[in-house]
Amino acid sequence: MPDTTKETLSKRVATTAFGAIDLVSAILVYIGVFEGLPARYWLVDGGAALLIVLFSAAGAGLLAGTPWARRAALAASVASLVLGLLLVTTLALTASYLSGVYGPVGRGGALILGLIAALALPYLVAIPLAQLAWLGRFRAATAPAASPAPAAGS
Amino acid sequence: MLRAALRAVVVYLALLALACVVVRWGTSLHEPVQREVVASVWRKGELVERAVYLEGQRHDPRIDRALGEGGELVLETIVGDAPILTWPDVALGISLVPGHDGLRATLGDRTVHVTPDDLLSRQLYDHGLRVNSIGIALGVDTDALRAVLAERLQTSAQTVIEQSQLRRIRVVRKAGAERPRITAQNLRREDVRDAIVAGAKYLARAVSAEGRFRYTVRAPTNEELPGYDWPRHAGATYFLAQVAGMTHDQALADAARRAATLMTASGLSKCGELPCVGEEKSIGLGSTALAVVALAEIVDRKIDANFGFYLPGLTRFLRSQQRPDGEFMHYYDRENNRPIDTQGLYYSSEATLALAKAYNITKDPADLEAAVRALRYLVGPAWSFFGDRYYYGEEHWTCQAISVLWPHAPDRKALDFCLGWQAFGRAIQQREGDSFFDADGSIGVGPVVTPRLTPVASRCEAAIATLDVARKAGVAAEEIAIVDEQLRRALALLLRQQLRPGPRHLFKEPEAVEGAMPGSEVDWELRIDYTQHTGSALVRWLELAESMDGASAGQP
Repeated sequence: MPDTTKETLSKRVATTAFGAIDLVSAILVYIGVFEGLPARYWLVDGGAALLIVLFSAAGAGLLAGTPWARRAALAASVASLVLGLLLVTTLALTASYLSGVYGPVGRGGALILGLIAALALPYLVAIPLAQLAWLGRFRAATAPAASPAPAAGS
Repeated sequence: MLRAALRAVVVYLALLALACVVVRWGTSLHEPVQREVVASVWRKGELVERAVYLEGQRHDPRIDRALGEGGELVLETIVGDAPILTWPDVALGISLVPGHDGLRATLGDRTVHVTPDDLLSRQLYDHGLRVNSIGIALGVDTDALRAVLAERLQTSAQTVIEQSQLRRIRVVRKAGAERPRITAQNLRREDVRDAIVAGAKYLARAVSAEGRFRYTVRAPTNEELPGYDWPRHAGATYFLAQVAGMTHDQALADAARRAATLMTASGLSKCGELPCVGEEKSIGLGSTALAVVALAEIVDRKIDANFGFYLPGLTRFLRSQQRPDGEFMHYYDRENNRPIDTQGLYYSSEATLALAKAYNITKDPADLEAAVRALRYLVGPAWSFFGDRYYYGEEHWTCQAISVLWPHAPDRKALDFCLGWQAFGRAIQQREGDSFFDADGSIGVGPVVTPRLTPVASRCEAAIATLDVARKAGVAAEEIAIVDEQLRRALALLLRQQLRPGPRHLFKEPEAVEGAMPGSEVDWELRIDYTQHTGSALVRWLELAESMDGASAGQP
């Protein structure tokens, strides 16, 4: 198989894979926040809604091969990375705060906070990072070659 | 690129770790250089005088004057203080450890204290963020807290929010003589018996001439709160009958009779052709099931045989709600005269226990057959899924039904179910030091939620029934000893938390609530089933202990 065909195929596989992962992430964020959490809080719900919209758009766009898909994927990855890191930071600081107020956070509390962090990390931090790396490589590969230097004099 | 990303991750984690250390240190309590003492005089549950002085200094004369007019002196020593987050509200609410922490508020040159006693007397702990789906409330009611601060600072709640400076204070209270701490190791039958009688007397005092309980009572003010529920009415009647039978106390027997009469008079309805208990258009099975449990107990304990008259009709109704697979249809639509085949928590096992107990009176083989079939369903298809050995629900009546049915239809699979349920309970049972609360024997759901006591009590009821059957079935002594220790720790917690008398100074009429069980160590809205579950567990434990003496196998 010629190199260009192989490259095109691998790009297609990656595009499909990231598209599917983005859709799964949108579903998981929906389930985790809107089905899983027992109370509504605008700060969390707002962030989750934003991620759901961006992930859905990115997923649908990548799978359908739309021209705006990569921009949507970039936006979803950046938003997810920022919110994911914010979530991990908030969880860690909350555990520290509760630990200050209540003494060592009880086993139950530590387990719950740890589980939330462990569940959130792959979808909100690791995958967006991988997608950003892929988008960066893709952009580098498809960028137009540098135009030749203009001839001296005219 | 990869190296830069890794470097960023390492820097992020290092900064995060540093931030966590700073936050923890900043919010931890710091021991004051010189401790302050908040001296308060309480009279009939009201704060009548307060003075704050440095530890070791003479009392304030105002305190002596107030004491001269009657009241109780309570000293709350501030042993630590720390900054506190005042925004958002939920952060402020959960920043006070229930029962231990209060606030010091400063506005200009004025400083006031809101101590744990102030918050307890107003019942502000655990009344903040309400999570209805799991039935818990977290943190202090911050609006009410600001209202108290505003009143003390003689300003508005808005000024408190905008201008006052708040600090968290940790307080150690010293009031009158305190009871020695009851633990699993020193749990004595005499203490258990006293607790039972005190609980039963509390409920007996709560039964009106008509037979209606004071359903929920707010302990600090001794006010009755709205709401009523037939299953809990029946449960409380059952406990009164247990104790009346045990003590032969006529007043308790009369109270049980009055409560049972109400159930069998105005509480009785028609579900199609059959009698049932309840008033709603759609009647839940639990009210009839627990009514049968209570009436059977009254007859069985020889308090009043006349109540046996109602049992055949009521058990016929229960049986009519049973499906061929053993499960029950939990509701009956009285408008359209048809059962509603939906299920909720508890009703199936309550009906199973009811039929099992009724059989001892009615001797109707149909009652026994229905109970056995229901039990098989409960410990079989009803709890069969991948992971069923790792997780068990709240349901606590099934194991009691097993104990009642064992002499007629021993079911080893059912016993294994109950032993598994106890093992799960052990895994989530807390030990001393697991949290700031009175933890040993409790069931905790995280550091900021005060453990509830009723789940502990209902699990004890099931544990005692399991122990009873396990002994009869010849389960290994080591396994029995493990369940026994688990049970003793839970029972000791219940005895420690029973209001006998509790912090009397915070109650308007301490005698009125003596013997009641609170919802938690800071929730003093006393619902009748809190006392019932604890009391029924203690009665069963005592009776099991005494029966073991008879069998010369030692105290359980």
